[in-house]
This record gives sequence, structure tokens and C-alpha cells, in this order.
Amino acid sequence: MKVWIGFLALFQAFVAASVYGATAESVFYRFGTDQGQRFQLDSDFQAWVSAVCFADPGVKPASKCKILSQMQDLQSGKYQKDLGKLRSVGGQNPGSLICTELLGNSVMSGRDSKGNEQTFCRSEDGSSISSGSLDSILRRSIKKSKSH
Amino acid sequence: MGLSGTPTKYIGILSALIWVGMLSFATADEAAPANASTQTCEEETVRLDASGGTVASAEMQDQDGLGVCYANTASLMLQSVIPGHPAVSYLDLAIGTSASGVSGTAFVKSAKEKDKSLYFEGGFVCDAIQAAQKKGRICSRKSVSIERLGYVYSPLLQKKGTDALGEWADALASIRGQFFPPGSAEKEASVKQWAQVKQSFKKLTDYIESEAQKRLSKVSGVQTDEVIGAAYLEAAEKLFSKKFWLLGPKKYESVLTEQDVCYLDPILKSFEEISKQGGIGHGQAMAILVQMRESIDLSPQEFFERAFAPTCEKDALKIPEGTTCMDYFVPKSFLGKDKSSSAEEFRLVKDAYRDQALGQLRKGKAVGISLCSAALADFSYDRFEHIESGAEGSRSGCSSAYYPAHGAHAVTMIGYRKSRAADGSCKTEYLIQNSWGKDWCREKGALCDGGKLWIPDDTLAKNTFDLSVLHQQQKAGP
Repeated sequence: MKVWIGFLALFQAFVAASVYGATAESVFYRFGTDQGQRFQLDSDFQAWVSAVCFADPGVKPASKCKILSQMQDLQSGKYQKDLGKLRSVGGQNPGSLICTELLGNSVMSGRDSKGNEQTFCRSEDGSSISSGSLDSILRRSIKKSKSH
Repeated sequence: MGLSGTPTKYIGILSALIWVGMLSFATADEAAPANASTQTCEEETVRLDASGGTVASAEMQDQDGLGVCYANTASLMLQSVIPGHPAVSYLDLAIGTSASGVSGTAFVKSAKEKDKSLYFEGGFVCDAIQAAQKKGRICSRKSVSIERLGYVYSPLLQKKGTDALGEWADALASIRGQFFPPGSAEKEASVKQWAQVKQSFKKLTDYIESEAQKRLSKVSGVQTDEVIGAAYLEAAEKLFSKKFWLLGPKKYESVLTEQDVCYLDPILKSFEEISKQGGIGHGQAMAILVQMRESIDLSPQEFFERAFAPTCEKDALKIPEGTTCMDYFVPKSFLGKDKSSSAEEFRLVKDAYRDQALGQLRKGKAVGISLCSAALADFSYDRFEHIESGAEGSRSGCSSAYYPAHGAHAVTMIGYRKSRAADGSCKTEYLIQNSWGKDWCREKGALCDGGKLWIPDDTLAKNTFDLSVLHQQQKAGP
């Protein structure tokens, strides 16, 4: 029995690696004194998303990570009534503004192994997305709503 | 054409000519490189970030919500001219600018009224560099501890963070001024009171220090600067959380006496104000204080340098002598209501601007540009259309309903490439390094190179309101 369970676990791990791990592009960022986090490229949002969101094969990521359901809301225009909250001053990163002012999330600033900075929008469950993508997602949503 | 339109047209063209003249003069100020012709259409690529280039070692910056784009740009420009090309701290430049009284988050605050009426906003890139020159040295990026921490432990250091620090420094100077008024007849009494103020600060910082040490004692592994810094920040944030202000200082009587609170009150009040504005957290500010036990006796400038970069003095960088930062503002008349004059001005300004930028880049110098950030997202964006339509943010034309998170911005030009377009015309694109991390331009596909974006010169010309360049005076001959 134990042998079968072990085999099944190995098979699952192999499928997960094939579908999400081995083929997926990923990056690693450190946050202050934290151990750091691995991110995987999300092809829908064209952004780095916490790798943990992709851990279970066959499970739709949005049902697992809050940040992805927030991105879907952003895409669908849910936050458009609050656009007045956005006011860019001093060339702030638009993604950071959207993250804090529209989504009510916090921004984490990470560094890769070469010292490059990258901010991430972190949802309350800890799942995160690279903030650079938020602006393009919002703009696409605005454009879509205005064309209707 | 009505009489009222004619003077506007001529004033417009005159302004453009003056501007072009200024640029040409500035270019002529330095030795022209052998291949300085910009009229040819030979394929050519210059990248300062390529191996051996002047900003090849520059790390990508992500300023988050700080609003310090002018400092990000200034840091790259300086890196390109300082011998050895070390990375320069943008936080140090931002703080220096703020402490010098120029706010990077307010447009043309320091400009004279007559200048305001002639030019569009911008110009803080050179303000940042001039503030650093005035200070005499700048910190290398590796010596600024908070910059290295990356704000992780200080989410409140977003939004007006550096302005808040400037306010705090002013408050500190003001407190000291109260106890040591110039020519005071009661100096002795003041000295006594001053000693009490210092004692209050000491008590406070002692408390935070002991809390931080407790945290550090539980840390296993190497206590790097980052680990130590984080422990102090956490300890300070615990003491000076927002709740502290809601409940009132009495909650912390075990730490502070009434008298301490009284002396600290003006500074703490300024923290409170800053916090209301969404600025720096009290904990963050107090953590700085921990590092700077004796900071209260320092000038705001010294205070910042020592607080943020304890090793800055040792690793200090110097801007080469004879370096001058010059802003070339695009005249407001460039817009013009008469389209025929606008087109002529547009051509003049664009050509002069291209010559200047290309000349600088060929010499290995990064160039600062103030522009509408919406143009980075949409190459067809034309800020003049938005000014004319009277849309929101119409003063600069930098905001519209489609780009609510955008506004005026400063970026750095670190390269260009010239090629012949399919229609046979000559095409010039500039390589722009932004301060929004590595993936902000991913939607641009091959034009986006890890946070650096190739952008057409036409787009830049339509959206730029200021070009910042570094000139170096020629040494006088024998």
C-alpha cells in the first residue's frame, strides 16, 4: 500500500513539474531579511505571480490565491468607480499606486540576486504579483469599458 | 489671422529659436566627437548599459510610491560621469533635494513667476544634482542602509516619504532654534532646557534600542546590516505605531514622563501631521533616530547623511569638478494654438533636442528627461492634445481618463539606435531606463528589455517638457 501511495505521490510531482514547474519561467526575489520568494510567469497577466499559486496542477490559480482573483476583478472593471483615488505625484510607479489605492494591498520591494529592485503587490493572504503589470491591466479594462 | 494671434505666433517661434540656440551653444561648449553628425541615416546603436558602458553596472530601480523619479534619473546621470561609474544612491539624492528646500513632488515650486508662465513643469533632476553638489559629496548606493532594505519594513515610507523626512529635519532644526535663539539673553537657561530635550530623546532611543537587542538575541545566523536594521525598525514601529497617536502619549507613560512628552511634543506633532498625509511612519523616523543618538546636535543635512548612510563618509563619491547640470525646458509656445507655427516649432525643437541628446549619449553621458509617463505606455500619446482639450491634468497634459495612474515623470535616456524604416525614412529610437522595476513594459514585447524601453523620438518630442544634461567645462588652455 505504502509503495503505491509513494508511487502516486511521485507521479503527481512529475505531472506538477511538467505542467507548472519545469516548463515555467521563474524568478527569485529577496525581501529584506526574509528568505525570499519564488515567482512564476503568469501568461494571462504577463506578470510574475507567487509560485505557490501554481502549486496544484489542475487547480485554477484564482481559486487559490487572492491576488489572482483581484486581478480578475481589476480586469473586469470592478475598481473603475474608484479611479479618482489615483493621483500620480513625482513619477510614482503606477502599479504601486493601483496596488495601494485601488486594491487596498501593500507593496513589497524585493531584490534579485543582481541587486535589481522589483516591487510586488501583496494581497492579504500573502500572494503577490509584480506591480508593473497592474497598470496595463487597468488600462485595458478602461479602454474596454469606454469602447462599449 | 486676427491681430491677437500674430504676436503669439512670433513669440512662439522666437521662444523656440532661443531654445534651439541655447541647446546648440551648450553642445558647442564641449568638444564634439568625431562622428557627431546626426543628419545621416546610417544604422547605429549606442547603449551606455552595454558591457564597458558608463551605466553597465547600474541596477534596475523601483521607486515604488516614493515619487522620487527625479532622484532616480539624477543617480544614473551621475553614475555615467563619475570616474569608475559606481552606483549612486537615489535615496540620498532625494533626501538632499528635499532638505535643500526643493520638493520633487511639487511642480516648479522654486521657479520664478516669469519662468512659470513661459515653460512647462519639470526641472527637478538638475535640482537634485545641484543639491548634491552643494553638499559636496554623495553616497554610493551600497552605503545607504534603508535603500538596501528596500522599504520592506517601512510600508509607510511610501508617498511623500522624502518630503516627510525633510519636514522632520526642519522640525528638528526648529526645536533646536527654540532653545538656542540667535543672540538669546537667556542662553544659560536654554542650555539647561536643551539638555533635558536631549535626555528625553535618549530615553526614547534607549527603549527602542533595548527592544531591538531583544529581537536580535533571538536571531539565529549572521546579523547582517539588514537584519540589524530590520530589528530596529520593528522595535521602533512597535512603539510609534499609529495607535500611539490615537490613544495619546499617556499610554506610554512607562517609557516617557510628562516632561519628556512635553519636550518631544513638537517633533512628535510633526510626525502626526506627516502620518495624516500618508507620509513616513513614526517608527521609521524613530529608527533613524536610534542610529543617530546625537543627531539632534547636527544640521539637517548632516543628520540625514549619518542617519541613512553611516558609511557614506568613508565611501563618499564626488561629482567631477566643472560639472554643470542644465535644464532645457520646452517652451510653452511650442504648443501654440496656431497649428502652422506649432509644426515649425515642433521640427526645430525636436531636431535640436535630438542633436543634444545624441551628442551627450555618444560621450557616454546619460540624459534626463521630464515627460508625461502616459507616453511610455502609449506611443501615440500627445500631451498637447490633452492640454488643448482641457482634460484633467491639463496643466501639463500628463493625465487623461485612460491613464489615471500616470502623470509628470522623469526617466533616463541611456542609448539610441538609428535605422531606416520600411518607408525609407530615417528612424531614431531612444533607450529609456525607468524607475518602475523590471517588468513594467512587458506589454511592449521586444521593445522592452528588462525594464528598459525603446521609444520613438517622435513620441518623446510630443511629450517632453524638459531635458536635463550634464556639461563639463573645458579646462582653460596654457
